[in-house]
Formats: sequence, structure tokens, C-alpha cells
Amino acid sequence: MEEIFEKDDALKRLIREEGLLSPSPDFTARVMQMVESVEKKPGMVYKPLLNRTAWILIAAFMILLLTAGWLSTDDNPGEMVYSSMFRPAFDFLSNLQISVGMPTSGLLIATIAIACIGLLLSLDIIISHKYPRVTA
Amino acid sequence: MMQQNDIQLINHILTGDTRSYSVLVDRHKDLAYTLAYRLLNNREDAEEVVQDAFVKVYRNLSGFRRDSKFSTWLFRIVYNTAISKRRLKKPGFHSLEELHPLKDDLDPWDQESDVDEERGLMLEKAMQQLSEEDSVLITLFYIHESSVEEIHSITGLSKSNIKVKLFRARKKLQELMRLMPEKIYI
Repeated sequence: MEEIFEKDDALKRLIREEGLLSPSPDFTARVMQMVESVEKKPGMVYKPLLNRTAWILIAAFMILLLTAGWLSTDDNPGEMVYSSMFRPAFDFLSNLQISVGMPTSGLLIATIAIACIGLLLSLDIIISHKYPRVTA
Repeated sequence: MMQQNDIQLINHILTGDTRSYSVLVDRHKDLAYTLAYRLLNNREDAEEVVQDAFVKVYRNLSGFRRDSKFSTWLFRIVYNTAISKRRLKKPGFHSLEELHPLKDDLDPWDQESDVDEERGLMLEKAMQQLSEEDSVLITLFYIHESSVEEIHSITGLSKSNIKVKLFRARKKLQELMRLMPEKIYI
């Protein structure tokens, strides 16, 4: 082993002195040019279709709907409209013994409101990811 | 000291000082290029690989875990990029440089020219006698002074395999160098 590497120091010196190659002189400048172009390149990032204001308006509308549903009673004349529109399809709700202090019609409106918001949010995320908008 | 400086530079870059990256590039480009060249035997390909590797590193700088040297991480990316490039190259296609890497019609052992130039040519010729992988191991071992552990991190080869390959490559280089005139291989 010692015999094999008796000249190891000389080999090491030779390799260290002569074994290192260099790329072309403008190499660093070209890399930096690429790096800077990477920085400036617009990224395809997720940006919601609805902006913050739109979401605040939707949330406010949902709260309004929930409040309206909460305050509505069975003898409310407006109830007739809701009941004729939705009750046949959502009769199961009246069978639920949910003691949340909310009339059946209110529960119905709340359910629909939550379902709509959920649907809207899901569509927003799916569409935004499928067709991302370019941001600077 | 070098490692600390690399980390400091990385911190600067991550805070938005892009220009600091040129210092890192300047510091490591030669060895990165040498490694790529040893694997590809082609200057243009090696330069392209190293360029791509530096851009990849820049993009992922925030993901550098700092549990190893920056150079080890960089050389691993260079090594993998070069291996991918080599796989992509059409089999059977060789550039003129690959076919005649060091003007084979000339025998540098017989040249009576500048000693420094001759030493470089002779070493290059000797390195060409090794396999690409072995010449990468020799470069990392002697120039970067990498430990077996670091070479394992860069190349993915097992530690025992690295030891065996290094032993054989050094032995072969020693034999080749013995043929050199004494004025060159002192």
C-alpha cells in the first residue's frame, strides 16, 4: 500500500495544479443573466377569480340570508314563497329533530347558502388552478 | 471558513441580494465544470450542464438544508445533471473533441515544450485513461479534498465501492505518471 502511494503527494500536487479546468471567461455573466431572467420571469401563480371585496360581499350576503332565515317564522308571508319553491325537495329537513332554535325554513336557507358558497369556492379553486392567471 | 462564507452569501441572496450569487458562482464554477467535463468529455456540454445546475441551485436555494457543505449540494446537482445529459445523448454520436480529446496524433511525452503546459497535457491524457466515474472520484478526492462520505453524498455510490474505485484509480494514475519525464512528475 505504501509502495503504491509513495508518490501520492506528487500526484496530489500535480492534480491540484493542473487538474482544474475552467469554463469560458463569460460563464459567470451568463449564469447571472439567466438567474436575473428567472427572477423577472412572470410566474404562473394561483390567484383567486374573486378578489377579497367580492368574498366580503358574498360573506355579508350569506350572513344576511342566515339572519333572515333565523328570524323567519312559519306564519311569515314570505315563507309561502320559500315553501312552495323548495319544501317538496327538502322535506327531509322537517323530519330532522335539530334543536338549534332555527325554524325549518331558516335551516333550509342556511343549508342552501352554505352549499352555494362551498360550490362557488370549489369552482374558484378548480378554475384558477386549471387556467392560472399570470402575475407580474 | 469557506463554508461559513458560503452560508453568509446564501443568507444575503435569500434576503434579495442577487448579485452575491455571482461570488458563489465564481468560487465553485471551476470544480463544477471540471466534474461535468470528466463525465461528459465535451466542453460545450459540460458548460451547459454547469450553467443549468447553477440556475437550479439558485431556484432552490431556500431549500438548502445546511446540514452539508454548499459545495457538496452543488456538486451533487452538477453530477446528476451531467448523468442525465449523458443518458440523453444519442448513442454512437461523438463530437470531434470526444474522438480526439487531446490531439492524439501528438504524444505529449515526447514534446519539448513549456513544462507547465506539458504537465497539464500529460495529466489530461492520464485522466482520459480512467473511466469517467473514476476521474470524477479522483477530482473530488484530490482537488475538493472530499471525504468518502461526501463523495457518497455527491455520487450516490456506496462507500465501499468508492474506496475500491479510488484505490484502483490512484494506482492506475501512479503507473501512468511513472512514464512521465521526471522534470514533469516530481
